[in-house]
Amino acid sequence: MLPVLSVSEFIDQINGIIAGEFEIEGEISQYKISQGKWIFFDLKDERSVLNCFSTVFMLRAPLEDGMKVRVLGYPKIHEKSGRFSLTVQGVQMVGEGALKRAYELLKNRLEAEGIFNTERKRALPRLPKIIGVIASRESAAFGDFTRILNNRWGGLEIIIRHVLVQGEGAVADIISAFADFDACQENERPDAIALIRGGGSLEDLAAFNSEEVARAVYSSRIPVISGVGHERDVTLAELAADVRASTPSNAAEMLVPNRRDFFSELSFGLERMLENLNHNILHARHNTEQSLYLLSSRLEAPVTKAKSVLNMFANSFNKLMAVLSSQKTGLDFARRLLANCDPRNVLHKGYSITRNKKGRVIRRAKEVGTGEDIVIELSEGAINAIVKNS
Amino acid sequence: MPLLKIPNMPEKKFNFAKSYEDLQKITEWFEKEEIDLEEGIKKFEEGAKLVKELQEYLSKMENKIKELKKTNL
Repeated sequence: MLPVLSVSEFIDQINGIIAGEFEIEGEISQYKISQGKWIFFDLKDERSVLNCFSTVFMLRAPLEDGMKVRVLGYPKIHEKSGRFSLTVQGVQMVGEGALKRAYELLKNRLEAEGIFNTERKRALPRLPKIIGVIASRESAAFGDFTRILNNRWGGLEIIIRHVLVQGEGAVADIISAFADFDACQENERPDAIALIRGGGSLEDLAAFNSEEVARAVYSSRIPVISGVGHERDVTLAELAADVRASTPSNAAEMLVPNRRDFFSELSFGLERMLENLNHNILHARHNTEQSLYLLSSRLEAPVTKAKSVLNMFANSFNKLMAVLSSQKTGLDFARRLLANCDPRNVLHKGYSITRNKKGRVIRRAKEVGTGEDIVIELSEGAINAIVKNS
Repeated sequence: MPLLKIPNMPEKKFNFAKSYEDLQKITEWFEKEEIDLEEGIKKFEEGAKLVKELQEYLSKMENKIKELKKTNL
């Protein structure tokens, strides 16, 4: 004889029998979120369908119809509705396709939220003193990173915070590493944090593509540079970082300058200083010469003026002398001319001048009458005579 | 934060950042159009000394690696 059970007793018994955790792989369909809190979807394969239930709080993974996933949960018949469903506690993407899709979905969401905005990205300090590193201590990536740092720069304090970069616990570990650096005291706080890891498949890089790590990078008080070696998609953590390097080595290169470059920059600076100084010395010398010239020309001015007056005077004097001498020549000529014209000179030649009593020169015979007294002037002496007839 | 200090690493008195900053100030000072010669010579000597110190520091100093211990999760 079978015992008769009430509905509640029956459901309790069944729930007891089927209690336990199960991991089930299938494809998502009919995915929907109700009232922003409850998640419902079906998990199916070629033959069967399983109703699944969860909450937004429990499932942070971005899901979508058609995704192949592995869910972790426990089966249960709900007393009130009599429905059988799997209460889902966790979801894992299966295969590249699902991972890729989940990556795209989350990327779009975070992008819309402004997590990757370039405007909020901070510049790295030009010359950091303390560099925080979040990486696996033993990884080749961390080895490359420190080797390049050592090659390029000196006097750095490199603080490594060892983390699991993949697998269970990686996300929590990386988040706590950011928190630890943020909590460092002022004098021990890094100037920049480098998030370093080697390359890997999309599955290996899952932690770097998780929403939590992306947000931790975004919220870090210290500027973050990412250096993840990979060939394909950039992880979400890198997109959220202030600066993204292509590899761990590249991150080291971006963090510190090369000693040699720095030295030549320093000596170039010195050369410029020297050039500037020389330029100013030349300038000053030019100025000095200029002022000296001005000063001396000012001192010399009266002398120069006197000299020029003297010159002018000399010139005028010469001119005067020339005029005088030319006038003297003229005077001699005139004098000779005059001498030639002197009637006495004519008298020398044997000519004579006849005048009447009044002294007038007689030029024609009829100018005198018979018996008139006349005076004949000769070269030497004169003859008083009487006109016999005219 | 518990830092794993490496012993026998004496802190050098030379302050790299400060010296570099001082050098930059001097460099900027020289960018002026006209400079006082006497002061310029003094500043140049100061700059040359800083460059020498910075180079010496960078050539000699090695990078230190410390480890930041995990907090209890």
